[in-house]
Amino acid sequence: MKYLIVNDQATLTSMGAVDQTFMFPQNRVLGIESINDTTTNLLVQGTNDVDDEDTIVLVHADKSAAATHKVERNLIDDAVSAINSDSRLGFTVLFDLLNNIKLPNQTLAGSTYTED
Amino acid sequence: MIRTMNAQEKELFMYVAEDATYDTGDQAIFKASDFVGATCVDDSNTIFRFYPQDRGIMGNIGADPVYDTFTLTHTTDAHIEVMKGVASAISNPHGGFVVIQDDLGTAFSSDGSSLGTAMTDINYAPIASTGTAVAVSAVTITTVDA
Repeated sequence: MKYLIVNDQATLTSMGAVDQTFMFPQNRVLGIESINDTTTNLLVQGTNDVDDEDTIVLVHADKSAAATHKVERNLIDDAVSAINSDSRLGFTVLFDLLNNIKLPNQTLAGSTYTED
Repeated sequence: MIRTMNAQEKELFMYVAEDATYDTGDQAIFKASDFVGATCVDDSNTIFRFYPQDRGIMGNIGADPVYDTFTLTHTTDAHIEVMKGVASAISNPHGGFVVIQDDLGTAFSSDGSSLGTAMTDINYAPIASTGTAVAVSAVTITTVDA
């Protein structure tokens, strides 16, 4: 099993509260849902409540604009690729605001993690 | 309840021990296939949650489950590095036995007479943004059956 990590804190000294940093197994992913023109949610089985879900918000460019019409579709490809990654390290970082890591078609600002 | 055992993988067991005396309830082994997720507790603690040994707990209709957990106390703000270190240690598809934290080792080395440095059972990378060395100093186990 490989593992996925997200972190929505951009400041080191702000680390350490709920709804910030999350590590979970690949097989906890429930689905990916389009929310609006700039937001896609990755839903994960709740880490604190098994019959609820944790929500990872992936922000992207406006898919209603002609120039970025396919950005959400490409972001979903990015996410699926990362989720299925057979990383030699044992983990894949989906996004990390502190260390400026993101999926290729993602916008870091506004991307968040929220426990159920 | 969703069971998550991947039949293509051999099981990996994670060992933690709270102290050097190894009293009853101070040691536990968790299956990697029972791992649910890890999140922050505060600026120096990260909690790892697992499906409980007592499977009946997960069947409580209308009630939230109670997970088995262990919490690692670590260098301040090192949550990401600790998560990465543990993830690497428990990702071997061939299974095995991994010592996540054994505080016998920590107690042994904290007097400085032997290794002269804090001993951590997993070799964690330093905090990426500062280079600060990362160590785990303690573990706390909470199990349903404890």
